[in-house]
Amino acid sequence: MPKDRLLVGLEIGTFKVCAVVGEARADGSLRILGVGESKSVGIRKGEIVDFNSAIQCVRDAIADAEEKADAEIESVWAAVTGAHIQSFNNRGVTLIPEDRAEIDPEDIRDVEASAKEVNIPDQNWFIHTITQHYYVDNQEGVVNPIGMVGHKLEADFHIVHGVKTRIQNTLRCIKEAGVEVEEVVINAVASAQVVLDQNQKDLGAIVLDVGGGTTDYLVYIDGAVQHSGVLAIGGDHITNDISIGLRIPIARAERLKIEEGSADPNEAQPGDTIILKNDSGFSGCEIERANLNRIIYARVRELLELVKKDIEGHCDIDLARAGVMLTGGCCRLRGFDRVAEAVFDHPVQSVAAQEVAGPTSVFQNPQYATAIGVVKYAQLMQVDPEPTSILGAVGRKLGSIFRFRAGA
Amino acid sequence: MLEIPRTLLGNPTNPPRILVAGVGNAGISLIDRLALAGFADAVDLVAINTDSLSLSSSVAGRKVLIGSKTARGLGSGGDVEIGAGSAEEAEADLNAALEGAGIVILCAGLGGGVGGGATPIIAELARNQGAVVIALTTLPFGFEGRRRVQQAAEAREQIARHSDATLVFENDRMAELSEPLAGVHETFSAADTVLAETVATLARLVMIPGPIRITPADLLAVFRHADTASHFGYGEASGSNRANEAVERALKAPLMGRGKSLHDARATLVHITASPDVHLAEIRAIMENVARHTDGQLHLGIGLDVNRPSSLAVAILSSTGAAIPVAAVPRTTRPAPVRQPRPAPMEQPAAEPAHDIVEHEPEEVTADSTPAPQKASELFDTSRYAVAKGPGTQGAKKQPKSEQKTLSLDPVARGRFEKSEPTIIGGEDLDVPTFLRQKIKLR
Repeated sequence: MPKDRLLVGLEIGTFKVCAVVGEARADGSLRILGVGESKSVGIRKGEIVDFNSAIQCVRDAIADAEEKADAEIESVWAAVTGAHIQSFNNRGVTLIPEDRAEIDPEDIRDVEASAKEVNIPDQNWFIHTITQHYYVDNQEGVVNPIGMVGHKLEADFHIVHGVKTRIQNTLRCIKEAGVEVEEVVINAVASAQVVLDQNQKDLGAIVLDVGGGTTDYLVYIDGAVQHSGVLAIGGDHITNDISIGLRIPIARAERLKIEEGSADPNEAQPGDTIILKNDSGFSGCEIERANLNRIIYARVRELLELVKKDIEGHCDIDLARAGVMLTGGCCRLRGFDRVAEAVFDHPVQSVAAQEVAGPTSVFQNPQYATAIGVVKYAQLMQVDPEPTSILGAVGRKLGSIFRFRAGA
Repeated sequence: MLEIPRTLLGNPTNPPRILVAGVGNAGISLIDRLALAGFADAVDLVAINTDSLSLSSSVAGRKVLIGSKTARGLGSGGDVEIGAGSAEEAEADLNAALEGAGIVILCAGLGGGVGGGATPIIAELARNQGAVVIALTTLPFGFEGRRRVQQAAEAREQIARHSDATLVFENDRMAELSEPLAGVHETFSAADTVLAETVATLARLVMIPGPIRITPADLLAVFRHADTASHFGYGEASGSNRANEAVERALKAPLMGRGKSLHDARATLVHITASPDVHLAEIRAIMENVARHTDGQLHLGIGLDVNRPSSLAVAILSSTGAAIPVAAVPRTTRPAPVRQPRPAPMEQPAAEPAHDIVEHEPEEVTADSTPAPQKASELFDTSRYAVAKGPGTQGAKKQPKSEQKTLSLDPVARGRFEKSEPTIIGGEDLDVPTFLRQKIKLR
């Protein structure tokens, strides 16, 4: 593995396209060299709806990143999201042949393949197969079974899959913009890499990445990914609600949300008004602050409740002892964390990328958590050149089976 | 090895005989379509009308001319009184035609004189014979005037009272089935196709054997109430991804409103017809997909069809609306009709030209059953679909209930998500602002 190699994470978000250039040091640390971004056009709910505009956005973001990092970008790791992404947990079983007792990498591959023998819709691809726990002859808590002696190897996996063509659209868009795609990773998995430290993963934690078009979440319990999901609601919806509720243009609603909005319904005093100055194409008006906050609160609360309901359907929230980590651009909204605390009834922290070095303005901004996370993920995948990695066997076929060790 | 007597494919009990009656012009044009689709063998098709011309052009196997005195072999002119009078007059003929049917499906356009007037009486007769009566009706277009809409509403109430289940489709919705500028003929033919598919589905539900049968009781649970609108979606697909494709197609059917109509469905019936090798996983995928759209009660039926080599069909039927229970008239309000022994079966109405079906087959089959001498003044064949001419003379004993409808959110409320794929969870369109859905008041 070359020393200090450049890794680029690209997130095509609903609000912005952002490319983070990182340097993976030989000692395992990661340093951010520069971040390029451009405002998104043609992206809705995390997915491309206007192909040509999206290509241009990617091109701009890459060019910006090349300039900031003073490096040439040839290939990127891409974050994907969208309502089509689904996940489930499954267990794989394989028997170790009689003539050898030691578990070898081949068996790890077999157990993974057996876990994937499930019926997912035909048009779907496996995106991640994340190992949760190994069991050797029913012994629990095995961290690495290679080299161990046993007859039966079992493993629990968290499997993430999504619609092939919709992922391909993202890939094609990036290729059209002139860069290659190494691998794809879902937003929530990427964000979790930098938002959580090992201690929090072991304790159990929920990562909630609320972006412009989607809310991506991931639950760690006992150091393993227990659940993940995508809800196609994000900051865009809040803006849209404000625009409809207060009858103001979308662009004005977006600014109002950022400058004045709060998710706390009790923050506004009765009679407290905000005066919107007239603008080109907008004649100006006066609005009640309470109304603005009420609209935001209703949406935020509903969003969080939906996420909570989904998580509760898959695992015990109380086991996420480290609480809820909020990240993504939308969680910068005032009062968001308070609503989250009320809904989840758990400690809530607004966090950004933690374990990286570089300009603080970048890694302290939760907007960039996903893109930085992609870089971190890329680093993990390469630092840990698992001999069992299927990547070697299958080759660089995009969207093929990826493997990464949870909490690695 | 033990032989299990009732195999999955076996058909232990005789399915009840199904009779599909087309009442009035709209109903007849619908059963003609069924006959053309090859359903004539599977179910009994009966055409009932006051208009001998329309009957003679029908390809139905049995025809009953009603009101030979009241209407003198002509149409009802949109008058429900004439429709009702004609049916009463021909009670004996009707009784004979309905005899022996386990399930009677009545198809009618409610705006018409016969469809609106005769259908309730036929429903009552069929019910008194002990049949399960399902009425499949269409409401007139909104632009046909309040009077007609009201007349249809009265007829609907009457029919609901005498039938076990009512499916109501709105012509206004039907019009959306084709392009706004499509020919009138095309629009009606698209609407007929949908209705015919509905009847075909109802018949299949009962006829095709399978591990999970839909019983008439399930049907009634979904369509028991009068004041409802019905939704129907049908999708068929083959190949390895057939389950997902078929259910997507069914949900995206025009009358399903891309799955949004299921949102406030009280009960939804999902029927899957497939080759016997259907997997449980496929059925689960279908049901999960449907459940995503509705919180209402789900009824599942599975039919296994050996004649369907690799394809899978999903039919979704649901009804929405305020659940006003039908004030069901006890089945035996009148003494069971004393059946006068009749020398000849009833298809031959006393009055009119010999209805030899074979004779009519060639030309009229393609003629879409349009009764020949159409009143040219009419923009389109309104009598077929809905319209009642002249004031409804129905006794105004029942005022249409003025009830508070839930605010229907116009599509504008989706704002910038207007054209994007909707985010629907638990049947709610989450792109619509939360404060609107939760009815939070803004000052």
